[in-house]
Amino acid sequence: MKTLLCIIRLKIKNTYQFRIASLSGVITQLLWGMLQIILFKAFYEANPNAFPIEFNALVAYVWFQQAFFSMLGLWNWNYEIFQKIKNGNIAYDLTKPINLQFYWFSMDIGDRIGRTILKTPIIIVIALILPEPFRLYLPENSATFLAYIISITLGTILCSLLSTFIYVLTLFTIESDGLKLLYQSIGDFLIGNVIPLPFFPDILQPIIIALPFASIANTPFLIYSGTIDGDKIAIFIGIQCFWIIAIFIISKILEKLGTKNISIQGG
Amino acid sequence: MSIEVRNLSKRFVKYENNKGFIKNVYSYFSPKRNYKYALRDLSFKINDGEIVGYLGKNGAGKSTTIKILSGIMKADDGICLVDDRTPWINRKEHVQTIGVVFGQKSNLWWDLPVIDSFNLLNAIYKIPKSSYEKNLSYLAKELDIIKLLDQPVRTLSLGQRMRCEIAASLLHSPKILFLDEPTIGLDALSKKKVRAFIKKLNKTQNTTIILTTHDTQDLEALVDRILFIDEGKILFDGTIPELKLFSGDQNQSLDDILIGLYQMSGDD
Repeated sequence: MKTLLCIIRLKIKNTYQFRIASLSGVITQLLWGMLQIILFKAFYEANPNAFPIEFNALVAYVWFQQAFFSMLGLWNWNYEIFQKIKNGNIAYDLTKPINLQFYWFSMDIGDRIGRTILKTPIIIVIALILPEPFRLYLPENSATFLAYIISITLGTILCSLLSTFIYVLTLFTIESDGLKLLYQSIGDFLIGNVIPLPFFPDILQPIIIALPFASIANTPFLIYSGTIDGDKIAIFIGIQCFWIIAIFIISKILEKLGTKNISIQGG
Repeated sequence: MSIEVRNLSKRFVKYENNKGFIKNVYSYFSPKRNYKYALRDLSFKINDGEIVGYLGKNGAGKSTTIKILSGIMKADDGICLVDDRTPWINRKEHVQTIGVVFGQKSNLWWDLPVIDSFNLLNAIYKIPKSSYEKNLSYLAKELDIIKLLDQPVRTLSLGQRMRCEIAASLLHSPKILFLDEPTIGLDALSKKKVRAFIKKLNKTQNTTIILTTHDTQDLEALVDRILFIDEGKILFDGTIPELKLFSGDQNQSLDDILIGLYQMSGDD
């Protein structure tokens, strides 16, 4: 635990050195969010009945996507880990009395928090004070907000666990490009980055919701806007917990196998 | 903390490359495996508090041995006991008692001040607060890195960085230190500092040190005993004067003796 906190602190410190780069991302994210809202507004005005969720819920969805772009982004890799596996620097990780999976998970989540911590609050505050139709509304009550906080925390943990799963898989393949490409192209679609998940056809909904990617971002975002409410919240958070445990166990097994027969590259 | 290795073997799988398209397609479906032995029947014993120079030409199996002794890799055959423990079985417990420096790799965070990497190691090794502070001030003084602690690693010269790497490997007061080419690429002054420190560490803390290097001055300055390995086997085990006797011509420089040994051993 101390290690995890130490890594997160260092990652934040690291980002802080490059704060200009980090802040410039805010502007991109704000403009992109507004563009998306304008686009969906046009759809909404054409036929409000065909809209699967309320318009405010969609606005919240878009803003959270932008605010947590780095935190929940499947593209957000710790490239150092891939390099380590390839060039043999992983040797140093293995000479430490630390579990590899946990260490890489800490690195990954540290990266996410580090890259997000400067940007997210700014984007959310600006979204809260923007005029209609861009305004982000506060949730209905504090219970909803609490559920949202729990859900987004679980979502972040799941997201990092999935990345860790790919890092661990790389122990077997050494080359990570194929895995990354496959994971990102399927994942981006299923996480709701291409089109928000509620816009998928009704037949596909149960399948998509059951897959781990929906639990990363879709669940917390819809809890915030009240689209998922009441008893459904418990079910959705249950799915998140299920995937966290499942992915954890799978990568644990892979890690054990992978480190057992590891061969270190380079002299 | 003694080290004992008996009949240790490690092989790597190599897939054969064929010439010609058809053969390649064929070998895609049924690859032909070949084994390359990095170590075969390696045996030696190192006592507590020794400084041992572990030599051999490139590809002789030096790094493989270090990786096995430090618990990173599993041997295929044979017995390897470090302080009566097999390194790769209880990796986490084992690595708590050893320090490793790979001269060609880095253990520090490139963009952050050195002290931050140290603090992270402190958390990972769960070093008690008092001994961490004691070790840090001791190492900082001895390795002359007090002024470097607050500088980002990327701004350090190689010699400065290597001293920091060595300090990083010793924060948890290991009983055994593996140094894999610690002086590679360093200037004469940095080398001198590193050597003086290693010597002192061994004297004052009785740390067992295993040093691989291609620098004969390192050996002359530091090492009590030389283990010369070739094709995964021990070719020579003894002191430097004994090595000179072994080579036949006592007036030769250590460099020439080693060249002789390299030429004697098989091609690779």
